[in-house]
Formats: sequence, structure tokens, C-alpha cells
Amino acid sequence: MGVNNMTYIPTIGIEVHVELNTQNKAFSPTINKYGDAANTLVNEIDLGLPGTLPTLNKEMIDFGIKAAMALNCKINQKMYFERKNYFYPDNSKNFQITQGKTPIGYDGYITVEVDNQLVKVEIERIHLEEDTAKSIHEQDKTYLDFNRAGVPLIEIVTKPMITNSEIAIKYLEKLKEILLYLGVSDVKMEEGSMRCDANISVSKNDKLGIKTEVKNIGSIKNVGLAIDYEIERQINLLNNNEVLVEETRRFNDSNNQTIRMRIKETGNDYRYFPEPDIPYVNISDEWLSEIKATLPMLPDDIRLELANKQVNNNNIEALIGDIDALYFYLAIKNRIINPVSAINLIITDLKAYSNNLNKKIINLLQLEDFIEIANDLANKVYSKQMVKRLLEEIIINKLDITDAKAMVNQKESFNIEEIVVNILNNNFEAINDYKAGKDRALKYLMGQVMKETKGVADAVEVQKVMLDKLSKL
Amino acid sequence: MKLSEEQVKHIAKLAKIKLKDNEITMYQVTLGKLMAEIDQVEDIVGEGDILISPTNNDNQWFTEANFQPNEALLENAPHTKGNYIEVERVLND
Amino acid sequence: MTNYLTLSIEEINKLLINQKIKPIDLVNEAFEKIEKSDLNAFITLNKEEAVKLAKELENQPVDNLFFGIPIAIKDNIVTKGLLTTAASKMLADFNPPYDATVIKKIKEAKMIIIGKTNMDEFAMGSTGETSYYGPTLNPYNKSKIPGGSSSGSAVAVSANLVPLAIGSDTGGSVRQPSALTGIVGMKPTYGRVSRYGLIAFASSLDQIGPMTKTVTENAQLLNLISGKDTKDLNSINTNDDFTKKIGCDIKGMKIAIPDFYMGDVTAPVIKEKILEIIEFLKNNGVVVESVKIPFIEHSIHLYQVIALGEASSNLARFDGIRYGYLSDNYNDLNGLYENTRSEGFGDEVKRRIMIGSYILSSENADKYYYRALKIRNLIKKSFENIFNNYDLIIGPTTTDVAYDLGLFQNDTIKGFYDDIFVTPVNLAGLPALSLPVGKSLDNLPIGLQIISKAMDEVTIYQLASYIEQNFNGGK
Repeated sequence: MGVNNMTYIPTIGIEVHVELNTQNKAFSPTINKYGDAANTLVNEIDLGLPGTLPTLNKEMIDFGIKAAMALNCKINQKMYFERKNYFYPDNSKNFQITQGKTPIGYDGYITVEVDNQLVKVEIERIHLEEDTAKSIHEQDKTYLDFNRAGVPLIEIVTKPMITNSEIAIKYLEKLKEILLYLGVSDVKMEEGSMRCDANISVSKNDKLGIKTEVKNIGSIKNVGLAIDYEIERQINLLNNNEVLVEETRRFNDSNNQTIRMRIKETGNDYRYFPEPDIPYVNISDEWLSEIKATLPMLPDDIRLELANKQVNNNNIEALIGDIDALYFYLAIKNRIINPVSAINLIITDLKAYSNNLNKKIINLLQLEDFIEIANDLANKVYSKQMVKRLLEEIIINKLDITDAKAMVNQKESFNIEEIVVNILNNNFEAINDYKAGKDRALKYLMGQVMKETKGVADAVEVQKVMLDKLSKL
Repeated sequence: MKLSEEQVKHIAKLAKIKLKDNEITMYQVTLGKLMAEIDQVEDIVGEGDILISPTNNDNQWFTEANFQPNEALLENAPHTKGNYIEVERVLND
Repeated sequence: MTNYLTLSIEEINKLLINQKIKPIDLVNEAFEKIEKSDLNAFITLNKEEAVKLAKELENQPVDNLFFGIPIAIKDNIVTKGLLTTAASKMLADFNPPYDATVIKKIKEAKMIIIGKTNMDEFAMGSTGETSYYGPTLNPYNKSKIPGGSSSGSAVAVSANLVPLAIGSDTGGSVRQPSALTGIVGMKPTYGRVSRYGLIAFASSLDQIGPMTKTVTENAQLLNLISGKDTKDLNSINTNDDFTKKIGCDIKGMKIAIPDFYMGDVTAPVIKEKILEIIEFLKNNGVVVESVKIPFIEHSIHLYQVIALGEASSNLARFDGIRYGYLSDNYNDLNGLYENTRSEGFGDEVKRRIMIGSYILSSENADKYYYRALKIRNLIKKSFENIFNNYDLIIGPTTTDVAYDLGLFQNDTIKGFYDDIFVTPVNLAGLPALSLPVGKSLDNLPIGLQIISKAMDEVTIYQLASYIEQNFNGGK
């Protein structure tokens, strides 16, 4: 097994279809929504009625440009659409409007990290096209729902240069993250707004082997499993001197194997030609600049920036993994003195409130107020515990910040020095223990001060004063 | 120049048209003749952009999306079940 | 029987305004004539709705020129609630749930749709003989073809069954039957009239056009139906009043006649008439010169490649699943597709789909289709160069007068040669009109084709009107 496996090099290409969450469909003004009753989100264009013509959704093009830019692609600034002709019940015109010779983006890449090494996954093309109707199969009939027909898709195709399942998985995770952050799709594989197909072949030399297409894989994890299974299956067959045929297979998630669906027909003749009903789209440099200005910061750039600001890894990932928290941070980041403590507040305190009250973080309190509080914390105007109290007054009791501060300050109008002296005067035994070298005594004394101030005093400040007084005794 | 039977049958399959035997022969000749004529045009070198349609329009798209649900849309479908359009199942999916 | 429908629409309009007649009078006359006619110009009559609308209009003010005027619509233009068949078994029961944009405009002007006219099936043909509903007959001689594919619309106007009609023109289908039945037919600049609701044959060639008895009415109808439509991305903005230069003098115009139009393929009777017209124009201060148009001789082949390629794709949607004819003779999905399409489509349509599919298949698309698109650009430029030096191009619309029914059936490619003078215009997207200018000795009409540069229909109407009013060559 081992020696032969070593000589086979796998080649993997990944194709991803992503549904764009534009307001309307790609080539008709029908509302683009998921989940309505069958065949209610359709008009005569979606059903391919005689005499109908496609229109064009500019928002789809904007989203396409965004995605192409975020994936480091070159943009085809003079593009047109094409017809892909084939008969199928979910295809209401028996042709699909797509792009062939002029994909909106091409020659792009995503960088992923595998085993502490950076790997550049090359993207051959990304193009715009329309989705088909949904089919439900029951016995010998198929039931068609055209709500999905005409929904805009981008198809993202890598070059066939991925060499193992781990890279494939990292690629898909990163792709999903980027598209989610761009706001162009909700990329949910469970709902079908992100679909992956993998093309896998193995070869002992430079020439590409016979490839298998694996479709309908329900999760990113399963893509990895499907790839691993396929590589092994193909190698076994080749080692037994069997001839591979180009075929389409599907992934069976009950045993993690792939099963043949059909052999690829030669001459899948789609007769592509330019769509005569949709004029050229000329994407000017101005248009590109407009879109570029709307690009949000992408996750990897955020990671770098936060690492440079000394935010620890766990917190970075926690922030990035939560869009709600991240968008909140991005909205305030330029006015925060200390990102470390601010982020801490966001992912612990604010997140907790968000979960308990079932509200988005942005709706918990004003940005201005949070900025003020976070900076107060950074400047030590308030202690951490006081900040927690402030947040409670503002978020739960809905006080405005001035009133909240007044409320909290009231409880803070004590003199640390006074209290420390008081405690010391009542705890001679502890003082002696401390002088005898028992650290526990200090802790005890600290505890007494904190108790007295109901836990609100700044522990660091208290300790400073305490040690100072003790040293003079 | 004549097309082969396989070539004609392949086209018929693409177009989803059933051909009778004499029609196959007819197409072998007709298509062959047509291509021979069109081949004469091949020597012209076409320069520049392809003309997708003879207008100078570009960047055309809808600015207001007017969508009205229309119950009459499914009325012409011969077979329906509930809200769905019913059709024979595809064999190998 | 009354004869109001032989009057011009301006005259009818006056009668309506002065309440000398009511819309129902026009409607009744139309249906009476149609019922008496054996020309088979109509597929579906809109009797109930037309009568109902006419009665409703009685109580409304005559607010525009077209108020209450009956009109016939070619049956490949979708009319809500009124069967639209494209003269095919495939759509014999198709009741559209929406109106074409031109129909909306026609209804807004309160015109009365009399019915849907007969045509070649899916607009594929130039004799009217490929209709599922039988051929339309030429009112000048019922043993001759009326031309096609807008046969019914041409005949309905020519035989005075209705005063106006609209047809569609992909490779001459408005102009050629207009020439053979002696009426005025215009194919506007590509994009002038919205194609939304026109059952597509060849998307980059199709245009809807007005068909009338006189030039002025033609321009007036074009005013009504043209206009940019966001539902047709290829439609263009238009603020023209096409009647603007009607009645203006033509002295000083420079007109070109392509050699291509006066060669051996043109019948002597047609050539003679054209030469008479050239003489007339010269006598009226017009410069007329011969020109060569590079690449125009390749139009026929290009037309086949582009039109049939596009058509094979446009007609793929007809599979009986969402609408239209469905075979009852199948065991599986593939059988459903094949039997439905083989039974639902006529022979000419199937032939064209096969040819178009072949042209787009495998390497052929790059070899033929893309190349054709490039050469098409060259033809467009050739015409543009001519118009740098000339105001208009004229020539015959057809190579001969109407020939016998039954003559050229089943020979698709030969059929295209009938359209050799009209198809280059569609390839270049230019406007062109056919004007009746006389008859042959057998009393068969002859049409003059007038072509202008893009968007210049106004000049076409100017010349056409002048000839119509002043040329007396045996009309």
C-alpha cells in the first residue's frame, strides 16, 4: 500500500456555487427570498413563458465585483453573458444564462495556512449565472418549485492544483468566511446557499489522470472525507490495473464513501453562444473604485491588525467568529485607546447581554457610550468592576450614560486610603502575619477592603495603597 | 459534403427532436450542403468585437423592480400537484 | 355593408369625434367582412371582448387619434386572455397571463383588437404556408402566396378587413408580405419597438413593425408602439415624431442603389419598376447612384447561421411542462421531450431547429457562429459607410412578384433566397420600409424598399410619402 501510494499525486479542483442575497433575482425583478410557498416567488420570466425577455440586476454585478476583488481576481471590465443550452425540467427556458468567455473575475487566489505553512490556492474564475428550480423527487415523478429559478449565483472554480483534503477544507472555510463578511451571501450549506463539488484525479506524472466529479456534498467536513475516499479508491483501482472512467459520483454520509451516479457522457454539448438579449456590461474604473470603497476589512487583515495590537489569539478568533461582535468592533476600532480591554468587554460582557436579551450587540447601547466607557477603563478612570456596573445601568436599566455614571460614582464616593487605614487599624494580627512573611495575610487584608467597598474599588489601586501603608508600619 | 448518420442523430438528441429514417438522410444532405456554402464565407477575416446585437446599448439594467405575484402563471401547466408543477422523473439523479 | 375601414384613420377619427359613427360600427364592419372572407387571415377572433370594449368606448371622449380604431395583431405577439398560438400546434391552447408591451400601448390608446392574425409557424417562413391553421391567401390572386411570415396581418390590411395591423420582421417578414400584397410595411430600427411579449424567433434580428395602407398611418402607428422599455434591454430611447417630415420636398436628396439589388436574381418586371422610380426621382431633383456594399452578398449565409442558431435556443423552452402542447405518448422524461416537440412543431420549424442546433454544436459555434458575429459587424459598418455619403438606400423588396402556392415547400434553404434583399437590413439593425409602387401585368403588387441609417425612419417616411403622393407608375 504505502510505497505505491507515495508515487501517486492527487489533483483536486473545487467548484463552489454561492447564492447571492440580492433583493431581486438575476434576470427578473422577482423578489429573491428563501422559504416561501412553492411557485409564489415567480413571474412570467422565471417560468420561461413565450415572449419573455431577461432583464438585468445591477446589484448582482456589484456583488460579483465585490467577491472578485475580495478573492484577488482580475476583473473583466467588458463582459457579456452566454446561454448554456440543455434540456432539464428545472431549467425553465432549457437554457441557463451564465458567463463563459468573459467571467467577471479570473486568476485570483486565497491564502490558507496548513501545518504552519502558507498555501496559495489559485482561483481560475468566478462568474455570474442563474440558479435552477428546486426539484423534489417522489416515486416516478418530480415536483418543481420555481421560486429558486433565476436566483443569482456566483460560481467559483479553483485551478486544479489542490493536493490534499486539508487544503481543500481550509480553502472552503476561508472562502465561506470571506463571502459572509462581504455580506453577499449567507453561505449556508444546509440551506443550499453554498454548494460544493470536487473534481479529483491521481497521477504518477505531470499528465492529469482521469477525474471524478463528486457532487451534492452537504458539508465542508464531508468534502474532505469525500476527497480522501476518492483518492484511495482511485489509487486502489489503478494499482489493480483497472481503467478509470470519467464519472459523476455522490457522497454517502452514512459510510463516508462515494457512489457512482452516472458516467460522464462524451459530448456534453452545451452550444454556448452570447446571450443576445443582454447588452455588454462595461465596468468602468469609477465603478470599480466605488465598489472598492465599500469593501469591509477582510478577516485575515483584521487578524493581522489585532495581533499587532497585542490582542491574544483566542480573543481574535472569538471576535472574528462572531459577525455581530466583529461589526461592532469595526465600527468603533478607530476611537478605542486599548483594543485588548475593549475587545474583552465586547466578547464577554456585551456578548452575554446580547444572548440573554436576544438582541444584536449594536442594539444594546450607543456606540458613543461604549467608546466612552471603554476609554475610561483604559484610562483607569473606572475599574473593571465599575465598568460592569455602568453597563448594567445603561443596558438593563436603560439609564443614559450621565445618569449611569452618577449612579455608579455615588457608590464610589469613598476614600481608599481611609478604608485601608481603617482595616489596618482593626487587624493587627494580620499585619503581624504579613510582616512574618505570610502572603495569605495580604490577601486577607485586601479581601477586607474589597468587602468594605462592596467589591467596587479598584483592586490594583487598593493593593498599591495597602502595600504603601504596610511598608510604613 | 455529407454528414454522417451519427452526427445527425447527435444533433437530434441535442434538439430533442425525433427523426424518421428518411429524415436522417435528408439532414445528412441538407446540413452538408449548408455547411459547404457557409465554408465559402470562412475566408473573410472578421476583426474586432463580436456584435452581440445591433444596438450600441450597454450597461442596461432595471432600476425599479416591479414584482407582482400572478396566480394565472401556473394555469397553463398541464400537470400540477398542489403548488408544484409535476413532471416525469429524470432517470439517474 | 359599410365601408368605413377603407378610410384613413384620420378620417375615421373625425367621424368618431363628430359622432357620425360609433366604435361598434367599425367593429361590426370588421367582423362582417372577416366572416365573409375566405382568405384565412385570422386564427382567433376577439369578438366578445371587442364588442364589449366598443360599447364601453361609446361613453368616453375621443381622446387620441387611435381611439376606437380596430387593429389586427400577428399571433406571435402575446395578448393576455386571448389565445396566442404562433400558428403552431405547440401553442394551440396557450392563454397568456400577460400582455406584450406593444399591446399595453395599443390598449392604452383605446384601440380595439379584432383578432390574432395567421402567420408562418413561429414566424419561420416567407410564404404563409407553414401555419398549423392552413395558408393565408393573397387577395390579389388566391392561387398565389401572400408572403410571410406576417401573412395574415398583411392580408387583413390589404383586403380592408382592418385599417391597421402589426407584424414582426426577422428576415423580411413585415416587408416581404407587404410588398406582395400591396401595402406599406415598416421594420423599424432594431430596438425601436419593445420585443417584450414577442415570441422570439431570432433575438438579435426580430422587430415588431406597423402594417398599413398609407405611409402617414404607418408613421402614426409607429409613434404609438415605439419607445424604450426596461423589460427589453436592447430597446432604445426615442423621442421622434415619425410624421415630422411627411410632405417635405425631396429635392437635393442623395440616394444609393446597391448593384446587389439590380443583378440577375431580380425579375425583369421588378427591375423595370425600379428603373421607373429612379427616373422619377431624378426628375424631382434627387441624385441617384449605384453603389457596392462590401460583404452584403454573404448576408444569406450569415442570416442562416445567426437566425437559426438563436432560434434553436429560443424554441428550446417548448416542452409541454409549464405550458403548451404535451404529448400523451411517452414513458419517460426523454420521451416526453422528444414526442412533444416532434408532434407539436411543424416540419419547417423542426428543420430550422436542427440546422440551428448543428451550427452551435461543438466546434461549429466558434467556427461559424462567432465568425458570423464578426462579419455581421463588417456588414453593419459597410452600410454605415454608405450612409456617410447618401441619405437613403433604395431597391426592390423582393426578387419577384408573388408566386404560386405550393412551389417552394420543404426546401428551407431555397426559401431564404427569396429574402435576399431584406435580410441584410436585419443583420445591420437598420430601419426599412416597403412601399407599394405598382403592379405587374397580372395585377400582382410590387414593393420598393427604402432603407436608412439607424434611427432615421423620419427620412424614410419623407421619401415614401413623396413617392406615394406623386409617383403615378400604374398604381
